[in-house]
Amino acid sequence: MSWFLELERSLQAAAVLGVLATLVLVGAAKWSAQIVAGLGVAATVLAAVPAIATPTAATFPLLIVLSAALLCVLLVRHDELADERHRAETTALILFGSAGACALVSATNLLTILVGFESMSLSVAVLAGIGRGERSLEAAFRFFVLGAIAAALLVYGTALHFYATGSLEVGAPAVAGDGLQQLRTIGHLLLLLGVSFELAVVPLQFGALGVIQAGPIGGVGFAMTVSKVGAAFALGHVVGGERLQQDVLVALAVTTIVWGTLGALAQRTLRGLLANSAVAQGGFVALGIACGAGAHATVCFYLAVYVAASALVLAAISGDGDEIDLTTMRSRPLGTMRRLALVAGLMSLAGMPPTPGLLAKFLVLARSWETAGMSWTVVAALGGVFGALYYMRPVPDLLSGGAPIDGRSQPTFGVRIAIVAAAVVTVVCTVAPYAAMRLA
Amino acid sequence: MNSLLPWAFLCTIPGLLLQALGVGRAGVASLLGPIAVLLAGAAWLVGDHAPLVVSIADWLPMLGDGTFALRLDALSATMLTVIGAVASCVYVYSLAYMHDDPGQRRFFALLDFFVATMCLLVLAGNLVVLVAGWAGVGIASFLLISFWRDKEGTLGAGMQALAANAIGDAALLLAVVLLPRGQADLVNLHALVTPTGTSGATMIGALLVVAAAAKSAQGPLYFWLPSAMAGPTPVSALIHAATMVAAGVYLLCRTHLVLAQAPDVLHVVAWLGVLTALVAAIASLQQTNYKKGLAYSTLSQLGYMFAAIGFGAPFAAFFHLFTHASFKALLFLVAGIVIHATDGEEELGKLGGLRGQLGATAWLALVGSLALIGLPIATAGAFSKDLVLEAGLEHAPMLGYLLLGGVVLTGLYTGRLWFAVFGRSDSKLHAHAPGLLLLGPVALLAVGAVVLGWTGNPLGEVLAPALGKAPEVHAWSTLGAIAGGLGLCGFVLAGAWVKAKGSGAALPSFRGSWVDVASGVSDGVARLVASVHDGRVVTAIVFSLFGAGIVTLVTVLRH
Repeated sequence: MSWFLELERSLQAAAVLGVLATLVLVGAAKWSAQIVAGLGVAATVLAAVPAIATPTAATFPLLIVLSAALLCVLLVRHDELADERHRAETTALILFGSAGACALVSATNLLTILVGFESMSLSVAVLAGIGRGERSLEAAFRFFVLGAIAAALLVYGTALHFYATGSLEVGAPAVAGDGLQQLRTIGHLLLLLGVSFELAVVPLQFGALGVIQAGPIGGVGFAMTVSKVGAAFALGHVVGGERLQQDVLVALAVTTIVWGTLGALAQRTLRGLLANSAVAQGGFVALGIACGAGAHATVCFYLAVYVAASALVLAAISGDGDEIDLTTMRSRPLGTMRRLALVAGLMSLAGMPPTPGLLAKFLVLARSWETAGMSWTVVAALGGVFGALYYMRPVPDLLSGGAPIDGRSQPTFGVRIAIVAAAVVTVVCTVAPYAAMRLA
Repeated sequence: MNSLLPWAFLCTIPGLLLQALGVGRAGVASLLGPIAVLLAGAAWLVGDHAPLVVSIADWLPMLGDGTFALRLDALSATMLTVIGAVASCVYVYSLAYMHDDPGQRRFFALLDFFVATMCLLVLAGNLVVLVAGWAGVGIASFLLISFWRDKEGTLGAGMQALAANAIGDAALLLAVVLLPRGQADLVNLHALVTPTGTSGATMIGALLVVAAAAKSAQGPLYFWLPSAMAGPTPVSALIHAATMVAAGVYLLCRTHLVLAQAPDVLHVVAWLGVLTALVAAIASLQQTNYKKGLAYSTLSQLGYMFAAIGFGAPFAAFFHLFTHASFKALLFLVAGIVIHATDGEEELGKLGGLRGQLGATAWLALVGSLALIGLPIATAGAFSKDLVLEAGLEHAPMLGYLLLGGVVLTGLYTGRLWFAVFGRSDSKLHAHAPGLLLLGPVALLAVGAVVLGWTGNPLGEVLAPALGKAPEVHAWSTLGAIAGGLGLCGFVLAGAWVKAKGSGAALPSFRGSWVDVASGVSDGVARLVASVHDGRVVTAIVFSLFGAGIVTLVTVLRH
C-alpha cells in the first residue's frame, strides 16, 4: 500500500473512485439498482477520505468534486433512462468521470490532463446517450463529436508544447531555439481552448448546451458540476501565471458571460434557460481563473456555491422531463420542498440576496477589477446582474402556489437527501462564508 | 438593550416565518414586525444620540475590509422610523385590502422580507452590507409587483423593475469593487476616496448616482416605476412611494461628503433632478390611470429631492423625503380605497364623482393633495419644499426658478387627480364605504401630512452630525407663500379643466420610448444568439472551429 499513499491526494481519490466504479459495474449484474446507487454514494464518501486526511491546496477542490459527484449519484432516476438497468452504468460513469475530475484538480502533467479530460468527456457523452428519447442520443452524439475536436486541440497543443520544451510538465519553459517560444505559446493557447470545452466557454460552448437540455438529470448534473469543476482547475494549471494566456482567457470569459446571458434571455423552457445560463456561469468561473493563483479561494467559493445551487435546481426538476415550459411553472405539481429548492437554487444562481450567489459573483468581480481592469469588469458586472432577468422569471409563479402533488411528482429519497445537502451548503456559504473560504 | 437596536432588520423575520408556516391568522402574525422597527428607530431618537455600531470582522476575509458592519445613527434611525411608521399603517390597511385574496399569507411574507431588507439597507455600516440590502429590496419589489400572476402584465412590469434595479446594482457593485481593497465604511467614505483616478470621488460619486437614480427612477431610468403600479396598491404605497424609491435619496444623503468632492457630479444630479421633476409632472398630466398619475407625481417629487442633493443641501432632500413619505403613502392608500370600493376600477374617466359616497376618503385625499402641493403653515410638504426651493435659488438660481415653476405643475396634476375622482358627488358607480381598517391608517398618515413639517428644526439638530448644519425651517416665508400660491393656482385650474373636459381630462400622450427600442434590440440580439444554438452539429462544429481559429490567429498576431 505504500505506493498508494505516496500518490497525490487527488490521484488517490481518483484511484479509489475508479476502483469502486468498476465494483459498481460488476455488482450491477447481481444487485438491484438501489443497491448499486447506494454503493455509488458510499464510494464517493470513501473517496473523500484520502482528500481530507491531510489538507493541501487541492483539498477543497477535491471536496467540491466529490460532493458534486455524490449529489449527481443521488439525482439518478431510473425512469429517465432508456433502460432501468442502466442505472448501474450511470452511477459507474459518474464515478468514473469524477475520477477524471479528481485527477485534473492537481494535474500538471499534460498526459494526466488529457486522460482526466477524456474520462470526463466520454462519461458525459455516454451519460447523455442513455437517457430516454432521440434528443438524448442527438445530444450525446453532438457532445462526442465536439469533445473529439476539443481532445484534438488538447493533443495538438500537448505536441507543440512537448516540441518546444521537451517536457510534458505544463509549466516547463521553452528550450532555446528559433520560434520555440512562439510554438509553446500556440500550444498553450490550444490547450486552453481544449480544456475550456468542458467549462462551456465560447466558442466551444455547444457540447454542454445539448446535454443539459436533453440528458437525464444525473448526466446533466455531472455536465453542469463535476466536469466544470474538474475543467476549471485544469484550466488554472494550463493558464498558470502567464500574462498572455490570462488576457486571452479574460476576453473569452467576458464574451462567454455576455453570450450566455443573451442566449438565456431568449429561452422559453427551464432546461434551455439552465443550459444557456450554465455558459454564463462558466464565464464567471473562467474569469476567476484568469485572475491567477491569487483568486484560487475565490474560484473555489464560486464553484462550491454554484454546485450547491445547481444541485438544488436539478433536484427540484428531476423527473419532470426535458420540456419544462417556463409559462407552466405554476401548474406543475412540484410540492413545497421542490418548489422552495428551485426558488433558492435560481436565486443563488442569479446572485440574489440573501443567497451566497451575490457574494460569489462579487468576489470574482473584485478579483477581475484588480487583474483584468475596468472595462472587462464593467461588462462582466452588467452580464452578471442582467442574469437575474432570466433566473428570476419563473420565481413569482413558483411562489404563487401550484397543482396538488401526485405520486410520480413525489421526490425520491435520493432527491430529498440531495436537496437537504445542497441547502445546508448554501446556508453555510450565506451565514459563514469565511468558513468556506478558509477551507480554500 | 441598546446594543440590540442595530439588529432591527431582523424584526420582521419571525412574522415571515410564521406566514410561511401558516401559523395564526394571515397577516396578523406579521403586525409586530414593523411596529418593532418603528420603536427601534424612535428609541434611538429619544435616547442619547450616540451612534450604535455592530462590527463582525472577517465576514468576508477576501476583502481588505470584509466586515459585517451595521450602524444606527441619526440618519438610519430617522429612516427606520419612517419605514416602521409607513409599514405599520400599510400592514394594518392590508389586513382589510387583501382580506379576500387567496395569497394573503404570501403577500405578508413578502412584505416582511421587503421590510427586513429595507432596514438592512438603512442600517448598513459599509457598502458591502448595503449591497445586500440594496439588491434585497429590488428582489422584494419584483416579487410584489408580480404578485397577482393572473393579472395581465404583472410579470412584465416586475421584469422592468428588475432590469432597472440590475443597472443600479451593477453600479453599486462596481463602486465597492473599485474602492481600494473594499474599504467602504459609509460614514468615512469621503476620506477613503482619492481625489482623482479610478478610485476618485468623481468616479465613485458617479457610480453612486447611477445606483441611486435606478432605485429612485430618475432620468432615463424612470420607466419601471409607472409599470410597477401593476402590483397591489399597499405595495405601491409602501415600496413605490415612501421607502424603496427613497433609498436612492438616502444613499446620496449618506454619501453627500463624497459628492461634495465631485462638483461635476453634483451639477449633473441637480439637472437630473430638475428635469425629472418637470418632465414627470407633465407625464402625470397625460395619464388616464389613477395610480400611474400618482406614480409620476412620485417621480416628480423624487426629482425635487435629487435636485436638493445637487444643490448641496442634503438636509433639504432628506426632510422632503421624510414629509413626502406620509402624504404620498396617504394618497396611494386613498387610491387603494377607491379601487377597492369600485371593484378594481382604476381609469380616471370612469371614476368621477365619488365624493358623495366616499366623503371621509375625499377629505383625507384633500389633506394629502394640499400637502403635496405645499400649502404653507397647514401642511408638512410646504416646510420641506421651501427648503429645496431656497437651496435651488441660492446655489443655482436658474434651476431654482424652474423648480418654482414646477410647483404649478404639481398643483395641476394633484388637482386633476383629486377633482377627477372626488370633484363631484354624482357618480354612476356604486362604491361601498371603507371600513375602519382601511380608513384608520390613512387618517394617521393625514396627521403626519399636517404636523411633520413642525419637526423640521429639531430634526435638523439631530441630523446635523450626519448631514451637516441644517438651515432654519420656517413655517412662513415669502418664497413659501409664492410657491403655495402657485400650487393652489394649479390646483384650481385643474378643477376648471376637469369640470370642462370631464374626469378623463388628460394631456395627449407620446408613443414609444427608449425603453421600447432597447427592449426590441436586446430581444433581437438574444434571439440571434439563441438561433446559433439551433442544435445542429454542423453549426456547432463550424462555430467552434471558426471561433478557435479566430482566437488563435488574433492572439498570435498581437503577440
